[in-house]
Amino acid sequence: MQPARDDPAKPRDYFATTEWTMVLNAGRSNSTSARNALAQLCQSYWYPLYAYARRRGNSHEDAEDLTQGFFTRLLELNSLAQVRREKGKFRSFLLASLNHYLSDEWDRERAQKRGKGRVISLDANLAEERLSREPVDMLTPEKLFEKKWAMTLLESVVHKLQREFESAGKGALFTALKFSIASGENDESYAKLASQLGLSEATLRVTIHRLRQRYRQLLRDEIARTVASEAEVDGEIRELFAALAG
Amino acid sequence: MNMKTIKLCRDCGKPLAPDTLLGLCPECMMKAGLPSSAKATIAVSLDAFVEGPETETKEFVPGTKLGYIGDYELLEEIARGGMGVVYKARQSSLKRIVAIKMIRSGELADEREVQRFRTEAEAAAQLQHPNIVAIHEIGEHEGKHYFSMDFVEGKNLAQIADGKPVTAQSAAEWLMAIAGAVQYAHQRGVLHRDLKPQNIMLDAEGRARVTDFGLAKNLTGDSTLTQTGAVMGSPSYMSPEQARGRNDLVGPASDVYSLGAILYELLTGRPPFRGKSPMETLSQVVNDEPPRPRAVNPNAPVDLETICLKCLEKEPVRRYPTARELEADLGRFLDDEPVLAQPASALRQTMSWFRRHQWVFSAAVSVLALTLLGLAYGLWEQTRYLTWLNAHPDFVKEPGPRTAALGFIIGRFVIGFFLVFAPIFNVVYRKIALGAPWGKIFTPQVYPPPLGIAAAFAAIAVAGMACSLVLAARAIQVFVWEGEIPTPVVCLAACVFPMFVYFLGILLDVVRQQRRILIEPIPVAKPAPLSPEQLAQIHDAIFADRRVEAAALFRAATGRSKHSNVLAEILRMEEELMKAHPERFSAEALSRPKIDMERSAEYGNWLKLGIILVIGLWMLLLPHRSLWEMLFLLMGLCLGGFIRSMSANKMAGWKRAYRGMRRAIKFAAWFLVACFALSVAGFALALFGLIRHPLATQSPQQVMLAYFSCGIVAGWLLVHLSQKKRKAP
Repeated sequence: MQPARDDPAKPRDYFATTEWTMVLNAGRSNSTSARNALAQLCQSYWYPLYAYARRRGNSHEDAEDLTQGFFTRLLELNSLAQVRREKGKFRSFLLASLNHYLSDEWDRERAQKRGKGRVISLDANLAEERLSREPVDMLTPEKLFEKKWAMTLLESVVHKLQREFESAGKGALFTALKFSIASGENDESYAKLASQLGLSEATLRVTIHRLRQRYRQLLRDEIARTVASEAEVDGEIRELFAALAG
Repeated sequence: MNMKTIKLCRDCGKPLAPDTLLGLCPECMMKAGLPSSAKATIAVSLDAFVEGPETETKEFVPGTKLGYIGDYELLEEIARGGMGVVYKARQSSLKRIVAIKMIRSGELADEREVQRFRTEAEAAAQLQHPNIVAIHEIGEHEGKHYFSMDFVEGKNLAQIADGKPVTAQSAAEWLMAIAGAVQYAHQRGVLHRDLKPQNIMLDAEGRARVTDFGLAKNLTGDSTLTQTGAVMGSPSYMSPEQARGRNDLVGPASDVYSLGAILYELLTGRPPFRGKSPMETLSQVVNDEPPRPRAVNPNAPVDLETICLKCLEKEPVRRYPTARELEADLGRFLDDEPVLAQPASALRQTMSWFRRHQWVFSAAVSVLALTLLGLAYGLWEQTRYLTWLNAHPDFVKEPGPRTAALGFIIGRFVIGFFLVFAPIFNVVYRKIALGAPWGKIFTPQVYPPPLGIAAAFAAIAVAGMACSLVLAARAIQVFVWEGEIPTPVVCLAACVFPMFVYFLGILLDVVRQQRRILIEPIPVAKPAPLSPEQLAQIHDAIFADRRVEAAALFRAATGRSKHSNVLAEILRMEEELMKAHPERFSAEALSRPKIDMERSAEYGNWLKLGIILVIGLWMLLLPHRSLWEMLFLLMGLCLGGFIRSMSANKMAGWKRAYRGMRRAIKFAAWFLVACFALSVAGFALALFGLIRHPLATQSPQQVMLAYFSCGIVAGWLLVHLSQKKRKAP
């Protein structure tokens, strides 16, 4: 990828501090910061795992237990040692680990008392409600996981963007322009939109351009949290797109 | 930004959940994360080639020629096939480009089939896989059913291969992708049933995508019109169980077979089986082994050839059980690991060849059994002879009473067996064991034989085989005791062996009939595959009262050669059309008397039986004297029949002459059988002096001439009568 001069996706000095990179770099060192980073990631992405566990045929309660138990196990001291660079993306790592947990360690883990490691706060009732509201599909658990992952990611990005606008007092502008983030507008609709918002067309164009730039920045930053290198961001977007489409 | 558009994405047209992501389209939002240049490629690669709005408006003036189907604006016709027509269309409400497939009207006959079509299409619509062209919607427009699906811009595998092999690498990669898609569908209970290169699209990114999933089944259903027209597609890629009409055996392994056939074509540039007509191809699919891919294209890798041939096994259990195993083996090939498939062993190849050529098998078994038994008996006889020689040292070997006796048996008994016993026994077998009514006695058909009677015939067959063994023993005796060679050899070759094979054949037939009744259902003959154009041509000929032309077209299209079958098919079509579109028939056709094939066939059978009786009575006065006389009679018969056949068919070309000859010989054979049956009786009467032969005092030449001219007249009459019988009321 050859980023343009003003490309918002221009690589910055970001990967030194991203959570997943930290976890990966931590390796065997068991550093507390790495575990904290992992905990933060898990906090963001527990819902896809919950949906996955449900689709695998677990009941509401079991899925909650499983997800919580899994995170507890994951955040135990020794588990970070298993993380290797070649594990690649956080998404793949999480799914592989959960599968491992589900197949091999389920029985043992159930017998064990919980609470040794850190506890991720997950609202299983909310999750169940959310799950039940979604339309029926025929996806495999893996596909569902990917899809939910993509949705979770997008939601967090969009909400972040919305909050930014709201904190700047431009909540109404965001609501009016949010559809322009993804779709191209023709001149006619620009004119219409501009008159609705009481802006000049040129101003509107600039605003929308900035909105898009910011959105792209946030999305890529969010994805960068979960992949090992900048080069993987584009590929991850494509994969998540395929997951959403499939 | 009204509420209506929020439900559907403006860009990609996918429906949106209103309460997620602030009503934004997740896919488009994800795409927006890419830099502009990359976004363009993802639009092409992942979004099923949704065209941008600019190009749409440029190349298309709305509502010009093709019109609308529901929500869809037809843009252009892409393809036309047996199933229907495919259009490129724009879905107005979603502003996206899709492909629309219209099923030909009449393809789905009744409400039940429509329902089945819809159920299957719904199941297929659930298939969401990157290598499957997704179905969006099914609907009905002016009585025609259609479904919309992704529009894939690209070529299909047949166009890409274009009769030439592709590289092994891409063949394996494409097939692996397809196998994955097929496995995905199988897991969801959807079979494809009509996988072929034409159904695999390669999109601009080079990704293989399967079309028409789960739809083939409905369209080859059992509606009457479908049976004549049929949408079977190309039989070259059809599994043997499908070709045999054994729908009960069709399963995932059938799709695996078709995958193998596609791989074969990619490796060699030609399908595994390619007959002159669809029927010939079907028969090859069932009976023949495909030529090894490396024999066609020496550059094909050995492992791929093995994988390919494992898919193309005749028996489903010998193929990969699921598409996943095939996918895995292809993956091993691509990773340069050893594949799991093993080439078939020489023994298994031999056995499967014998299974498909059962007559060779029974002949080989007969030869082997006879040789072993003969050797054993010969040794025993030889020992007896040597013992006897010790007691009678002056004994000299010379042809004597044993040779004379054997010669008599060959001359009388065996000719009687072949020309009298065997044909009559066949009639009796069909009548009693298979229960065929007299009117259908010579019409090939399968009737359920009762177990007890079948057992009796099996016993007769065993007894017949024993008789032939006794005859063989006599021949060996002659050789051992009298040193005679020609007579025993003639006896073994002309009498013992054919007799043994004949009775073995009867025995095998009895067993096979029983097995059909007891174990497996009788397979239903497959309808002939005809394209709509061919069918339309045939229909036009029928409407215009040109039955002969219709029959010729049908024959050319299906490769069926038997006149009565073709005519029956044409008459059946005519009957159906008469019900459906009586207004399209010409006045001539309507005034013409209808032909009842059932009655016509019965008439033919009665005619044959009558001929045997009448000519036999005539032969009472003209019993045979020698083989020469019979030969002249036969030649006369053939010539007479041939002359009549030639004039009847307005013959042109050797092929037709050959057909006429074959026909004449067939009737001559019937005639001969009748002659011999009755002449035996005549001979007996003459022996007792009850009648005198009118020709008894003539010279042999005159007798032969008489036979010859009688034969010509009789042959001409036979063919003439058989032509006339079609004109029965």
